[in-house]
Amino acid sequence: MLKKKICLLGAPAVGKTSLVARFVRSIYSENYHATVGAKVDKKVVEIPGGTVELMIWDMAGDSAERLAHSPYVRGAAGHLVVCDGTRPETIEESLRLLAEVRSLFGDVPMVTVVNKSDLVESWKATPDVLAPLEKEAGLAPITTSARSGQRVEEAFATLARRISGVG
Amino acid sequence: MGDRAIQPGSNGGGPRNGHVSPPVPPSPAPPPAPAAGFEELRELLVGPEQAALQQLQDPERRVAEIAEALPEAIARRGTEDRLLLASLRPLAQETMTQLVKQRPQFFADLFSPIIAPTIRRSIAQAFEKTLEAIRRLTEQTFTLQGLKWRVEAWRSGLSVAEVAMRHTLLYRVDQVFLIHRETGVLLQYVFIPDAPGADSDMVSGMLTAIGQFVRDSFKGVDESQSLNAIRMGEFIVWIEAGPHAYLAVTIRGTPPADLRELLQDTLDGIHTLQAQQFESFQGDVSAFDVCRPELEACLRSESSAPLTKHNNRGAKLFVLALVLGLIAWLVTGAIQASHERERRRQLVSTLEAEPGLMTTFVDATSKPMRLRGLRDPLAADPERIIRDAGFKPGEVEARWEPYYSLVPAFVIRRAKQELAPPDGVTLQVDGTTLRAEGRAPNAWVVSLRRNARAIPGVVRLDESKLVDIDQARWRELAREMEAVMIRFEGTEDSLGQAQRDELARGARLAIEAAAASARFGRGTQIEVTGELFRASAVANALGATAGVPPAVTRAAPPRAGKEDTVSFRLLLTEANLTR
Repeated sequence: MLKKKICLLGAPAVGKTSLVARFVRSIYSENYHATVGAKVDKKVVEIPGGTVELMIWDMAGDSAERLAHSPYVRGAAGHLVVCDGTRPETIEESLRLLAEVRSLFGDVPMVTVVNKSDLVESWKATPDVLAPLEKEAGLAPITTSARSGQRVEEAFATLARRISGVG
Repeated sequence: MGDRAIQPGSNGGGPRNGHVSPPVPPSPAPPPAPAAGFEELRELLVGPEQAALQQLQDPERRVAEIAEALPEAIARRGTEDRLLLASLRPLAQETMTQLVKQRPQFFADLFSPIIAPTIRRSIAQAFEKTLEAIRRLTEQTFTLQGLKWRVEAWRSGLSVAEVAMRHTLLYRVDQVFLIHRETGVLLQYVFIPDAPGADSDMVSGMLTAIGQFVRDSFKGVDESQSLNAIRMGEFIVWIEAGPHAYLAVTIRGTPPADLRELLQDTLDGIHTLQAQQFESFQGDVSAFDVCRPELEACLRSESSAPLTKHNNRGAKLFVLALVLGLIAWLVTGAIQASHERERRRQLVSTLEAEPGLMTTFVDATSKPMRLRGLRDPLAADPERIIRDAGFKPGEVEARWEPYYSLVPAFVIRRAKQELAPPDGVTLQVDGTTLRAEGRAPNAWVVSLRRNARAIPGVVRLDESKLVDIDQARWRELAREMEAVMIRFEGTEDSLGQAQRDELARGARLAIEAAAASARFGRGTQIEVTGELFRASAVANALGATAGVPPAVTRAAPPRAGKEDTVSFRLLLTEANLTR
């Protein structure tokens, strides 16, 4: 049985917690963010050749950089880097975050997620804007909607495959 | 010696003064003399061996060679057998002993960083254990539990503190988490079957997060330290941290301090045995399945816990049973006491209903029951009455004083005993009056009169219906006597046959009357009345008859039609005048 710790990183209010909420049924309330500063959830994900149990660490933080330096991040097998498709500055922040994490933890698998795809009218994540993100992460970002659930499972499954070395 | 020069090649050959001379190659020389030739020949023949011999005898060289071979030699011998170890041990021990004696501070400095934390931890745990016991003892002192402990301490000879310690160190380890320190991933999880709990993986992650939270939130907590315990009421989480993993156990109750040691030992053992798995850990937790037996050994408990709900219920039931038992005992006691009181009251009633028995003091509550009273000698045996009432010997301590009861039955019985009435006499008691009825000799009547009032309960004697048969007989004889008449014809004064027969009848009556009056203490006298001469003649004639009481004559005045008759009358005299 494989168990892997993953972290959700990204600027505040990009929808990290909403993504987790969409992905798992948590036994812990959102209050943990305010009290302990982190919430750990679990999801068993199927991967080619078996399953992997993801321990998903969702942390509270006022900036992406601070999250990267959080002691909670240590030991993570991979990261889901989340940005907000309606706010291009969060994409910029994600780029810096990717570089920061790489400098801190080396070549750890990361999957970038551009959230809030349901907000079509204010969507600003054009392919041009997202191109640097794909280049930095080595993988095309996945556009998700925590509200509708669109591609949320795919985002986690992609990360699960990458950290398990099967994708 | 100082002026002596040592020539190379000259003999002497060996080392001098400890100095080693390197071998010298033969130098060109003039044609050898015979002796020199011999030396040269010898040099040629045994020179190399001599040189080798000199090298062997060179201490410095020998040391260098041994130093070179020594590590390998030790290693090889050490693998072959334990002789080398045995040889070195005394030497090493002696050396260590000397060193410790000579340089104690050196060793203190050397070991202090290693043993000081262990000592501190042991002391802290010992203090914690003691404080916990004191706290528990204080809480339990005035409870039913505390009293039970005191009784147990008294019975076992242990101190109360020791007993309290035994009982308070009760706990149960419900769950054991082996958690990867860096990632918070749950490596292994064991639990008792009915242990409730959330998803162990998430608990594991959150425990890690909380530990990190404490480290981040409070100053003075460095990275090497970790969360040690979480406590909420009776529920405790103990955490032992190791380099790669930590062990978290959930506990209910108050665990003993040695549980902490068990956790430490278990975690140390896992780190030792799984060092490689930790180093190469990539999320495959099945590598740690082998640790399950060690983790399951941490699921310890002491089951005789009085602090669990079950035992609290048991204690409540015990108290309830005690109270009910007490009530039952009190009720039973009250019923028995009531029954006993009634039984005693009945006995007293029975005794008092018995004629001739009277209780003057009763202590109905004492054991034995105490009784004081009066008993008429004629009354029934009170001991038999007590026995018949169901009292066993010793249950009643009775003392009776004699007295005379004045109930009529007893007065009658006593009168009959005392007076012995003859047949034909009946005695009755009416109040304080003894009534005698019937016919009785004068002697008994006299005795009755004399003794009746001496009988307890008799104040008056009623003999109105009692006939003194002796006096009655005398009166009857007296009446018959008055019917006896001796008639004289004409002037005749002498007694004829007819007169004599009548006189004899009168004499018999007089004799019997004298006997009758003698029975009631009186005498009888015959009064003869008639014409003087004739009366005197009759009196004389009577006097001549044996047994006749004395006669007195009385000249009767002549009565018409009676002047020729002599009559008789019997008189009672005070004394018996019978001759």
